[in-house]
Amino acid sequence: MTASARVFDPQAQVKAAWELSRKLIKAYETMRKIGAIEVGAAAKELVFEYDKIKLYHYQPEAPVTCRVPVVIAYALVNRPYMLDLQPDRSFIRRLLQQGLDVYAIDWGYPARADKYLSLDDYLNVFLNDGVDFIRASTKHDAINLMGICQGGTFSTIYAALHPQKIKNLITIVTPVDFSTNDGLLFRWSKSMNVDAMVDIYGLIPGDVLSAGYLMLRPFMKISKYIEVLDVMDDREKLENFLRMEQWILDSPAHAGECYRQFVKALYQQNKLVEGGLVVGEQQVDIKKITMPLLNIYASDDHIVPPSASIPLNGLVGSADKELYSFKGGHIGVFVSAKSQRELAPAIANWLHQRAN
Amino acid sequence: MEKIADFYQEWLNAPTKIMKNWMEAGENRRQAFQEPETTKKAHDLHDTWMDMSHSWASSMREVFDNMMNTLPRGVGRETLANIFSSAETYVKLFEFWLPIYKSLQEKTFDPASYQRLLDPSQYQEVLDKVFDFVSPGAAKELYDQAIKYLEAVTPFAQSFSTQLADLAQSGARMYAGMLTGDLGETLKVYENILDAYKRNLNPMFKLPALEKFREHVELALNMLRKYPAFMVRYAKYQSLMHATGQKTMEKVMAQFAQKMKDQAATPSYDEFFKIWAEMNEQAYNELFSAEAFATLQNEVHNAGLEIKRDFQSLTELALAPYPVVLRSEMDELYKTIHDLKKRVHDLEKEKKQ
Repeated sequence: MTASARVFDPQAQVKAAWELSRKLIKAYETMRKIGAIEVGAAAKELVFEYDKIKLYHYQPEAPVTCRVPVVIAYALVNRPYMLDLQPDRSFIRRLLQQGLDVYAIDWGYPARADKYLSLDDYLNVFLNDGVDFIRASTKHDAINLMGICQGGTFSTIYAALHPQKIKNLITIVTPVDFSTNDGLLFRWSKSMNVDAMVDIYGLIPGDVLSAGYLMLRPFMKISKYIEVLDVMDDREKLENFLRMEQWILDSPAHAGECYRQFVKALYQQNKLVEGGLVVGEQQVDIKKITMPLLNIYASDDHIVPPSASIPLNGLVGSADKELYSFKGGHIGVFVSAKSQRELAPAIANWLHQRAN
Repeated sequence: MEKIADFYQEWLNAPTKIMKNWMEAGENRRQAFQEPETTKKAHDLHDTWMDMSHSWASSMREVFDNMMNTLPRGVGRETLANIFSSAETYVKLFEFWLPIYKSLQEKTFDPASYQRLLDPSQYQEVLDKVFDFVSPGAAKELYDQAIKYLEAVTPFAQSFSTQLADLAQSGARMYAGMLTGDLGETLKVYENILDAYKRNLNPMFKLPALEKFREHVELALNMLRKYPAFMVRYAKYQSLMHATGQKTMEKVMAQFAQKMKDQAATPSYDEFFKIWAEMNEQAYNELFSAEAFATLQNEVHNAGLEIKRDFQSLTELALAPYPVVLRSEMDELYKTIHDLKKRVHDLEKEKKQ
């Protein structure tokens, strides 16, 4: 609605309101025609599966120059195709084009029968089986592990539990020090009655988790949907928007026991930093991470604030460790043009230097 | 195809009618603005415009709901629902922008004069939309369901329908009372009715044939007793959110007034909307960052979970006599399957090694 005359002009107001109605009609018409939204641009093959967990191997897009494969562990709360949304916004394709041999774990969609899955199951069964499969099939004693967001925390814990299996560790927008109050999720989780939540829900529904994320920026959400009304005629822009929407809406449920442990031991008790974290029957000692570490955080991340990620470098036992600051937000790390242009090559370069 | 064509026609007709009314109201408003007018007249015109806007929203909502049914489930449908919901907020906020025009035209714009035109209850509707607050209707629904449940499972509950109806009524009154800040009094009334109801039921349970229903009724009453605990916190939560919104609106006005001074052209509604969204985002972020907010939010959440827990228990009780597998029984089964899977996995791994 643009009405900038100094004198009140009812015609202009009516026209503006009418215009909004027209845009909404156009939005309906476009959504009706647009059909299903395709995500995923890189070719991949399912090479291993156990229960609902799938391990994919991406087909090379350039000669593989870094012989040690890298496996990506994404968060449980969203789907990993954020890393491979479309041909020109695919973090995974950029890694492949840089000569990396890329695998990725898909945690799947837990159902009610999976409510008892614990951190032990995710780390010592699912992730461990995936890593062992790659080690065996590529004949490498140790492989590269790249963890993202919550998947980064998983990867950090895993690397501490099984250091002999990991050659290089890369963490991206990964929460490690949960004592921070910089991010709202960190503040809110501290006084949360997670026992009641898990006991009652069993399986934490995806929309309950999403509601928490959406609450972080409620007004920007409205602005976003008003602004998109102006791109209804631009199919390419609209499809890009819808791919991102698809990812936001596609929020799997969280296995209750794993959620309970993650919130209590990490968000509330900060045991990864303070000590005392037990997974299965093993104590997690972060100092046992001695392999090279590349820790990437986003300077404007409102979901995992830098203060939750940066301390990792001071906690590990690695001599070779690097902190990389990416100027952008939590999602921009993977989908922005800058990420495609700079971050993926920087990671590939770092791994190449540590391939032997 | 015919159906789709009808929908289009409906889409186009509904807003057209409303636009016609708006045109008339707008013309009246323009004339009023050109003449010296009283504050009352400005109020009346503003109210007329608000009514028009409400018509637009409800009419579009009705048509929109019909059209949504023609879209397959998926990202397009979800996105469209979000777009429409945001458009409703955008239009609703527009109602508050309109009085500014008067001040613009008369060059008398200042935040204080705007405050006189701002109706807090109307603005609450904008905030309720943004935060998707539960309407009082949801409270009634809970009572209705609890009453239906008791009537269905206990052979004598119908004879207490008067008390149950009173309970439902008091629940609705309580909700309204809480929103106006009269928490203590409304809670007292509610508790009294609940206690009286329980006292009346007690003699019935002494009859052996009815003893088995005691657990149902006690659980249902227990759940209804927890409801005020939830509502007290929820009302406090809403009130905090509303207060932040109102206060931020004052700041938006002050910033907008400054913008008016600094630039020659009158800022557009879109500029106003942008300032409003940005300032609110910041204000709510500050609110959300406060320890007290986190505590309150968790209290609301926990109180809601307690009700959900009782509902689950009630459902199990109601289904127990029937040949169906209960949720708790399935959970036991899931636990066994989980443990067995783990054991098989470990044995296989051991065998391989």
